[in-house]
Amino acid sequence: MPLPKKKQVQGKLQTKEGKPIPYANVVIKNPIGQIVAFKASDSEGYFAILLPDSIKVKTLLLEVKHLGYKTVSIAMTIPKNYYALLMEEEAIDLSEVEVKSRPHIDKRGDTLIYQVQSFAKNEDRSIGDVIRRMPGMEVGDNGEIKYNGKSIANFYIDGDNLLDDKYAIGSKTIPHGMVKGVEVLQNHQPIKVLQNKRYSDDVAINLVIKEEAKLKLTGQAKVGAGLPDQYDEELNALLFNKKYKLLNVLKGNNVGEDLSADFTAFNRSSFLADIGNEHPGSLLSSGTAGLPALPKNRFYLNNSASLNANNLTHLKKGLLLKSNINLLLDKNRLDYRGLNELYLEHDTIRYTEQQVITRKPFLTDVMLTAEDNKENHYIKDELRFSYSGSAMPSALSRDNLVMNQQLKERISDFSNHFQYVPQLRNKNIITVAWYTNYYNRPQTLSISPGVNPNVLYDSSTYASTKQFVEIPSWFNKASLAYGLVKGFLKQQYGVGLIHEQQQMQSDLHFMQLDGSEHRYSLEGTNRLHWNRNRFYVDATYGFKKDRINATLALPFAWQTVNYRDRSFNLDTAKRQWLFNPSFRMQIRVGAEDFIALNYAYANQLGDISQVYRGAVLVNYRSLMANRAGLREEKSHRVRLRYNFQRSVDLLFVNTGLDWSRATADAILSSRVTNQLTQTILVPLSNNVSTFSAYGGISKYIFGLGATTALKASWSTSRFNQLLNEQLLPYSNTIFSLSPSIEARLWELFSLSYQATATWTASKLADGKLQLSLPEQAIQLYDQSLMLNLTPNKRWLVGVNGRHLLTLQKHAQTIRYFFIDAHLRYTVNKWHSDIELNLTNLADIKTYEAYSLTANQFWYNRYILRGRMAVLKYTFTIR
Amino acid sequence: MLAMGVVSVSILRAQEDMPVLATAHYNFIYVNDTTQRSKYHEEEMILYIAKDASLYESNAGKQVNEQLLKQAKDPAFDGNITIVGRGSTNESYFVRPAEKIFKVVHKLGGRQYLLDENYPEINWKIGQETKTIGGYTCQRADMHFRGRDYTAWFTPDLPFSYGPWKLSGLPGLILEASDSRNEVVFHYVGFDKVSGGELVFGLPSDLIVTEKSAFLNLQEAFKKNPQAVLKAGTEGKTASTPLVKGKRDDMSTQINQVIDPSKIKSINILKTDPERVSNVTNNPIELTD
Repeated sequence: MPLPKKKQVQGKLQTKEGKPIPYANVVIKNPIGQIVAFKASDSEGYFAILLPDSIKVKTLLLEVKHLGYKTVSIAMTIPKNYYALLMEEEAIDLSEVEVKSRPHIDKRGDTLIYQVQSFAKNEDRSIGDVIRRMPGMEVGDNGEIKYNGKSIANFYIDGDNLLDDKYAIGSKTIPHGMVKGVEVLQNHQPIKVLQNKRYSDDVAINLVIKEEAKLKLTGQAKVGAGLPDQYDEELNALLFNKKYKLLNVLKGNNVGEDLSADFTAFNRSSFLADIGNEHPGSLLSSGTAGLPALPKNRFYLNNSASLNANNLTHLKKGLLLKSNINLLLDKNRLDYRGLNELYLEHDTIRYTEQQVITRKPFLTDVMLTAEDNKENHYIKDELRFSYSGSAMPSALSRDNLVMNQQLKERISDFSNHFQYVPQLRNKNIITVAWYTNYYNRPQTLSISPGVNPNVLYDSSTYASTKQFVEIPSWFNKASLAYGLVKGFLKQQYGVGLIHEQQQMQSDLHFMQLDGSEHRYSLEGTNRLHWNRNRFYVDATYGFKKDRINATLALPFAWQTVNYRDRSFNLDTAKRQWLFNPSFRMQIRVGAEDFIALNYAYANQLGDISQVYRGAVLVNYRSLMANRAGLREEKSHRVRLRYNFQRSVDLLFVNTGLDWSRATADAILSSRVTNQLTQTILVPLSNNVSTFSAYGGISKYIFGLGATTALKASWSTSRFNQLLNEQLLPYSNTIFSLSPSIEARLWELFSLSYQATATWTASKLADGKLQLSLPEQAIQLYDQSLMLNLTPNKRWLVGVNGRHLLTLQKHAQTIRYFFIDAHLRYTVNKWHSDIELNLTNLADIKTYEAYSLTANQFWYNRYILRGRMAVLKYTFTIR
Repeated sequence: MLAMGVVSVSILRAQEDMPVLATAHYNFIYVNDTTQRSKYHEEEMILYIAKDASLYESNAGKQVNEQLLKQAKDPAFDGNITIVGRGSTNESYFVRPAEKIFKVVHKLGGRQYLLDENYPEINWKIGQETKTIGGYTCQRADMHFRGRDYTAWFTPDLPFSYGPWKLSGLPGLILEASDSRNEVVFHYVGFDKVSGGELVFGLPSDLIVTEKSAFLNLQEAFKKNPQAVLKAGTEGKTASTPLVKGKRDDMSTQINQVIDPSKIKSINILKTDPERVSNVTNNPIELTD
């Protein structure tokens, strides 16, 4: 009898009532659960499946999984080849269908959309907590957000730039429950009339607010109190309407939260550098130690209050009005003891210093903006007024000598920025801009008793030293440009004018024991006038075709600088041509990948702080003056970056190389003695070069629900120091590695681990010179682990540990282990959270740190906040 | 009156709305111009899964509606609408396997046209290879369909015999598929359950039932003179009923309430990056065998 070449299984599917079941898949599975054959039943419920010849029927399983019916699964037996199956109807139950990977991210062109719900965890409250977990995103300790290694340029709330670049308050305050998605806008051009016309490599993010959250004003009241004598209060109000948006926050605390961090304008310094208006830095300081490299709430002994009011409204015809008001009042204390060693060829100089500083800063900052952003024109005016200052009394002891210091400063900063960009009938673009700024920062440093009588005051004792300095500055820039936007080569031709006017005034006074006042000869007074005028013509070419995006900028400028101070017979003018070209290019190498190359050449002149002749006592042991002409520095900077992303797989990679070399015609020369450092700028050609390589990878692991990341960077720099008339070439090398993981295990348990290992080495690049300490190396290991348990939606228990280890060749190993714990209970009925935070459980009261720069070694010991317990009640107002 | 001339309008009995049980998102990549392979079409697509039927369409419709609504609600709305987006698929596929029904809904000039197509009979060959996609263990299946050899990856863990485009009929949801030349590719983006009838889909009664030849004529006419066709088709009519409707944020209802069609002066479609996708199609998805 001829046997069929293939084995066949037949059968019929029907209900108990005899109703046939059409179009149900009947599958045959092998012992490891793989499907070897399948067939859908026909309209009468019949099925016939051919099985491969080689298969062993005895091991097989016949299964019917059909929506609306109970699953049937039976083992097949040998002689049987007809299966009449009765199926039982049931309500559709998808509880067994497991959702393992939601659509986390949508990608549309240059926009990437993260679904907030997919990344949020039970313990999260603010949108910043969730952004931190999104692969490819980074949130710094100061609140700065980066996407694939690049800082964001704008932070939009439902399309509106309510907070400008002071967005840290937004990511801290906005509850993640209000936000549907976080959009990442790459190659973002905020000015509508320039979209598709001027190429941008900026990245911005936009919080998409849920429809139901747009309806009304919401807010939170937080009341906290704790031991020892702690308070922490906050009241906020949020409204994100289509027409009206507000984010107003009132805060006060003494638990170590630095409220001035909310006012950090992340892009301000790069904006000022771009426009050419860099403010003169702070000249005077009360000490030589910096702040410890710890989160500020560990050591910040404060009493702070702030108001952060941001309001925006869209008027008819699309005009947008916005006000951002920042107010801060603060009083804080820093208590430290330090050692500073300077290695010279034949000598090592040691300073010790101990200081208790009470700082009383205040700040008022008002910004008013009017903007009309349309497809055919753009008008914006931004008016900013800021007045801030601080009084800083401190008790300083140095080599058993006790001094009373007072540093007082006031900063006035006023600016107006106007921009107008119309589109002409032929689609070409005109850009008109005018920026004006007034800035002044008067500072007074008083020290009693008078310091360094043998150097400063003919060796006779005197009562006190008083140093005053201010540099009132006016800056104006006006520009006009015409842009041709057709075709793949966009051209822009512009002209502009910069005018800068400054006066440096400084006086060094001595009070005698009898109360009379003296000037420090003639050399302690500056009356320096500075004038800088620049006229420029520039041509910018933007090229965009296929995979290439490139911009070439060719600015030619004629610049004159005049500075004069009669008392020093100084009257100098420097006139020159400047040409500072730059080039950047982005090549798309895949759907989501690109390589970017940037090159810039800059010929930069020094500023007023490098030409004053009279001595300035910048701190109790440093006297500064200049002898050189205007310092000129020529630099080349090259940056190569590779960005790789697979948004569907949630994989983000970036890597890059930076190289720069600068040649300057003057160098700071220091003459160091045990008593005083005298620094002057002297003409001497010298080079500074740096090279760094960095990379980062971030990946979301679907099976674990975890975001993992690894970052590494290596950088080396070579530079020179002129110390006691000896030129010392140094080389510094830093390598750092930081792995991190954010994981949620079994829904109720989450883990977050972050570590940074840093190796710093500094050595003299010239082996011929003999210094008392030839080579230095410090290793820092900083690890933190956070564990959170959420047994249900109401409870949260968490523990954080942070371990810090410092290793150094010739010094003692330093180890710290900080432990914090927190507990939270949510009362849904009252829209409330009750929270208990226990900070610094081990009660660590001091912190020691080493640092290393060139030939200087620093050791500092800081007083920390001790153990603390704060109970906080948060009420959400709906 | 052009539209009326070439299309036979008839009334269709509405398919009852079916509750969506789950959705799957795919990233659809299609090399439409083999001379410029880097300028391929890329788009996010959604598959809506119901008990007895599925509906597959572009996610762009939702995105366009979002933009429409945003601009129309703006107090500064001046009647000119600009829609920014990459070119998107204007077809939706409705499949009802038990009755071997396969229908295509074309969107053209604000109206929706319903066409019958042959039910794609696919002879799948099950392989023994497995791989994990989005956390699901998937099994391989191969077949030949309209001129291309496809490989699909399906997961029995998601017991829905549906998939992207015209690919379906496996004992589990298809999460990934591509042809042997990698010119037609569907990548898995995500899967989510939809609870308690939050979303429904069906074929609304205001669809214009037509035949392929008549529709192709209309399409041709639209290409030549879109304004005329648009005018003929939309006179006295608001936006047509969408195939997928949500309970909560029903965007189309909002659009109907917010947008007064007489106030719309112009609709301007801006492609975000016109240079990235080739305008030439020399490589149809369905080839002749």
